[in-house]
Amino acid sequence: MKIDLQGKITLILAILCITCMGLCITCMGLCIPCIGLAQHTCLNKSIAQVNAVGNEGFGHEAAMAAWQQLGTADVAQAPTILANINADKPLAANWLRAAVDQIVERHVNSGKALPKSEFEKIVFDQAYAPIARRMAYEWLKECDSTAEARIIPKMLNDSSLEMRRDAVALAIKHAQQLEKGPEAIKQYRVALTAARDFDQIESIHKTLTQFGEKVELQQHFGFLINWKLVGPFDNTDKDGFDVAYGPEQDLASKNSYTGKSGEVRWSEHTTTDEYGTVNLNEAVGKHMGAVTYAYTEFPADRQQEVDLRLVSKNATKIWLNGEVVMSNEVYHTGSSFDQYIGHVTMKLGKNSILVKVCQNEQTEAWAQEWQFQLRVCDKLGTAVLAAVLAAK
Amino acid sequence: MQRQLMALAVILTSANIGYSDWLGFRGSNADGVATSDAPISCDENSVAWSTDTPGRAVSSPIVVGDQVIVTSSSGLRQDRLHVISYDVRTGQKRWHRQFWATGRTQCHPTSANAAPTPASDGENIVAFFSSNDVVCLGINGDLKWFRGLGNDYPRAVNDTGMASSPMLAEGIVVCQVENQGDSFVEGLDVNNGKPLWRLERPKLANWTSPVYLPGDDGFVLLKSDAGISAHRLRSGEQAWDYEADAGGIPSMIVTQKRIYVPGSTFLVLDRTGEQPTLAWDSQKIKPDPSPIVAGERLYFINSAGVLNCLDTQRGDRVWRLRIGGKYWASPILAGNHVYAVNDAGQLTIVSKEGEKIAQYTFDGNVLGSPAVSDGALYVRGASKLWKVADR
Repeated sequence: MKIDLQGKITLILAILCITCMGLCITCMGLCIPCIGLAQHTCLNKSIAQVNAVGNEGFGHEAAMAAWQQLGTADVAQAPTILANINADKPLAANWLRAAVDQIVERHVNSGKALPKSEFEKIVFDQAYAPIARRMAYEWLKECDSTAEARIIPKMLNDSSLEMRRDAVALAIKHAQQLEKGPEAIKQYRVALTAARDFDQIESIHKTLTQFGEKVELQQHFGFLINWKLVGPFDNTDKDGFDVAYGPEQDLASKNSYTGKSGEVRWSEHTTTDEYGTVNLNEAVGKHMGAVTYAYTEFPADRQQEVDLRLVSKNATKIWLNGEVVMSNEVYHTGSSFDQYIGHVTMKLGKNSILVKVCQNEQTEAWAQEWQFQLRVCDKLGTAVLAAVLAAK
Repeated sequence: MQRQLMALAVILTSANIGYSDWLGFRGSNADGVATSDAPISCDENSVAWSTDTPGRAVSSPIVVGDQVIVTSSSGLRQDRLHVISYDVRTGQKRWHRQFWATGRTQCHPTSANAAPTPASDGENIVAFFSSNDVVCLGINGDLKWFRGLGNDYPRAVNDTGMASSPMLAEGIVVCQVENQGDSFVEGLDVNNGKPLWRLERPKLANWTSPVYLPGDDGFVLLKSDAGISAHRLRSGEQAWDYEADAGGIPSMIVTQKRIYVPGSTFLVLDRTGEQPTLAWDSQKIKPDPSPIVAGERLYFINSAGVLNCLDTQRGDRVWRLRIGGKYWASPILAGNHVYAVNDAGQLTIVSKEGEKIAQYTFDGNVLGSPAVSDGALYVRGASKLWKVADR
């Protein structure tokens, strides 16, 4: 076959075109992942800059610029931002939360569908921060009427207190629908075992008590109930808070001390209050401008991170194994369950706990309370109970 | 004075501030006086719209342009913080931002973590909470910055709840965090949330709000049981102080020549000199919520639910009227009428002459002061927001 010059040129051009197209397609194939990679790298950089914010405005300039990038990101990137929310960085978590809210709100308001499966993966993956998982759930619930029924029943032992709370509420609802009897009691017990919130536990306790059931509240919460008490020491004009009286000097090793009005000696006290309250007006006597020390030992079968959770309307200090771990010089401003939380490390073996409880001299009827309640639990509020240690 | 007016004119034209905006606790001038009228009757038909809001709030709404902004707090521990924008015309939600509290959230059941009223300069919305979390948002809900003052100072403790509303002026946010623990006032740069200055304060519970004192150099006025003091807004440096038991609940009012200080003794200070001087005082004037000063009249509600009108020259009584109820919400004045909403949600409209004009009870408790903008009254219930407008 003979090909003329024009035909040759046409053929060469055609080959060149095909080659170029091939190159272009190859380049496009290379470019698209590159753009995606660049976006991903940019997103991760922005997240890292936001996650670097600290106290007193540290890192704000960089975080503000980064947030502008995050706030305009596509909804497909929201799960990545959610996945990078770290509960141990509460300031940065809020910056990231605002970005996710803005992205998803804009997306949903424009009538587009939420990428449900990506959000649901986060909800069920315990590796992510409980607050981020809850946030993903709330957006799912907003956009999917079936989400609650599908997800909440599986959350009875969840690491998110909010998810767990909803699941416990559902379990209580199921129990309420049952006839009074063994099945209802069983269902309430299931709810009680999972419950960590005071109001839900109180509600289940009330119902089970009506059913003739016994609920060991002290054990459920992990209240410390056995104490040695000594007092009163002087706290006139609230000066006693910073005075190191005998028990904090020698870590409660002596039998007696010089108190506010003479010698004072340790006395054993076990509170029978279901909620572990140690009422000092009853146990030590009613004194104003006074300090009482309470001492106990907590055996632990391993070194562990725990919470000490205190309730008191009085000024308090707590020493764990001789170190001050909590200190609040606040009198009668109110109280609520788990009012003060201290994150501490218990050592293997015997741990000494010394509590200083200071009463001031206010005369109002609402300022007469002199008491405290202390429990040991994990971060979720699950009781950590004293171990039975083998005698050496 | 001319420089001040020029400065104000520049602010009004450069920022996104409208004539009828209500930009903070007790309005844009923190005196409880609206720049527009409000409806002088109220019944079911006057409610232009209402909307349920999440959680609880005792904060007041603010109005910025065509948005009414509210805060609230929700959850068993009051640890979820909300800032929500509604369209003033329709009540439709524009945007909703949520945050996790980083400080202490405990408060009396009557109150809420969302107790302080947000502040705005027309471009920024600064929301503050009892947990001492501070959020700065743009008017479209975009985050500018977030600070956790309770995270910085975890011993800032008042488990009755904090309630001091932030002040925003001249690009500086002032947050007053006074209690028995870490007690302080901080000035923050609204542009980036960074601290500009910090003052140690008496370790006493205090729920009053800082007040802007305009001048060639602006000042912030602070009060507590330990006294009253003026601080340069840019540095926090104290310019003067005035020893008095100035109390920790109702807030002060600044007028062109005077400072009105509700405390154990009601003080009226002349501020025309370098140091304030006592104009007059009274043991009989005991405002429960914060008072109003408008022209030559001082209005206040006492703990017995009696609305009083006094002459500002000497404190002589002009009239008084029992309107009944307990009041957390500070009254406000719009046009020729005082608007007072009691804790049970009963709104009473009283003329400047002391005549009861109208009463209407909203369906729910009301603990936040109302806002007025463009002829409408915005009433904040614990879990609801109503717009009242002329039919």
